[in-house]
Amino acid sequence: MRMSEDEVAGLVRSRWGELLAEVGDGAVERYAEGVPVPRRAFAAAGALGLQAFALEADAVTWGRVLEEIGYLCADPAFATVVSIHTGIAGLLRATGDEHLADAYAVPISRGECLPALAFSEGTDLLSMRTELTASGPDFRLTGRKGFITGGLLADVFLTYAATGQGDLAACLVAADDDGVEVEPAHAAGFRTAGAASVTFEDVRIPAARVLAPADGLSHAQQYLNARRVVIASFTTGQIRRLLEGTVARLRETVRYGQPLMDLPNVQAAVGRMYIAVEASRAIVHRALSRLDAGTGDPVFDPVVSAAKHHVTEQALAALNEAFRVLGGHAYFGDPRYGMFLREVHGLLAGAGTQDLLEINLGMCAATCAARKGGNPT
Amino acid sequence: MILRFSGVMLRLVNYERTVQVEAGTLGAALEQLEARHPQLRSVLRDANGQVRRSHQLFLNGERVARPDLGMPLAEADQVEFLTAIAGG
Repeated sequence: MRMSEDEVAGLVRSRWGELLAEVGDGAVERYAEGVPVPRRAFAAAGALGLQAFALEADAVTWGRVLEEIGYLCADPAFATVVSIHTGIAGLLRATGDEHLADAYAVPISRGECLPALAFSEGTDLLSMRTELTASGPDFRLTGRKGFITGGLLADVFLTYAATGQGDLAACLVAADDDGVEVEPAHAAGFRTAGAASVTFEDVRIPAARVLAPADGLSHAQQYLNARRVVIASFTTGQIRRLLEGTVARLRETVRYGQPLMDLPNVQAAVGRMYIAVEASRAIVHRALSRLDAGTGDPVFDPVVSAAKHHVTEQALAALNEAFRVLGGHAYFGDPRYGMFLREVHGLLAGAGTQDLLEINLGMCAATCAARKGGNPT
Repeated sequence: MILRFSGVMLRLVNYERTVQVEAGTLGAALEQLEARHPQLRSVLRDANGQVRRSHQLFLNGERVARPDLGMPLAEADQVEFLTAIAGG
């Protein structure tokens, strides 16, 4: 039986609450210095069964767990990175390949092996330049990938590369393979998420590490489709956190002889933030339920994409409200507001830019509206 | 029948939003289409000739979940390829 919201909240607090508080404690300092969440945090999470839980839970339950993690943990990168780990572990397990499961998915689920996605390289998706070519029984990989969240922490990269026949393949590349060079990426945000770029110089890839020899584009889209609702889930929790922090500050700040929270215009702003939280929860829950029911498209589900788009826009709108009512406190006084502002701007691009999702959703809606009563979902 | 394209696929069909072909099956329609736009084949189909999962196919506005190359087509049919991909 599926767990209720309250049961999930209780579970997260009791099993992982202490760890999340510990990770959050050093977030502001790490963010200022650009230091990633420590590896030991993922190992500790693995020892407490967090990643393994993700692999066994239904989508709605895991989405709610991520919302609670987003809400409880002051370092926004933890939910971002740990959910990449579990997403990749799930993809590896779904191959049914025992070697991939034993060598990678199981250690990832224990927090002992940290993966990252090496997909984007600053081209459109049909023009990737990173190339995987056959070489005897093995393959050779050459190219460069950028914008890798969690890349500085990664032991292994799930990498997509052109095969030379107009196709894409997916393979695993170890960070310590000869010819692999990982460099920090100087991103506008994600400063505790270990953002990196990686260069592959004639790297030997054993055939056993090629998990999709063809149609890697569909393979990647399947991962990214699921990723969108994961992003929407933990971001919803982070908006809740923003709302509560904003209200707490407004209650204790006195202007014109009264708490700011008592001013009608401030109450309206907080009301808009509350609407952002509840509207986000509603669409995320609908998207997660479709995943569980198997009614969504596994490669591009319109509701899932709408959820990622909507929650990102709600987070930006809620931040705007917070900065307006908190004034100098948000801009100068408490660096956590700026951290979240930078993180959310990363979501404008992550797992498909907002504009590209709008185009795709527009195409879906137009195609389905062409028939009477048509609906993309 | 008419084959319709949009988004990232347009550049592979020389930015022709619609392409008219005369064929009795989906497979035959694709053969004609690819004869006109050879660069399309490797993007649209896998090594077995099947339409890749990243392309959703709609026949007269109805989604065809697993397009079969033997799917019969009539002269008035409209086949739309929806390639909703986004990444990174």
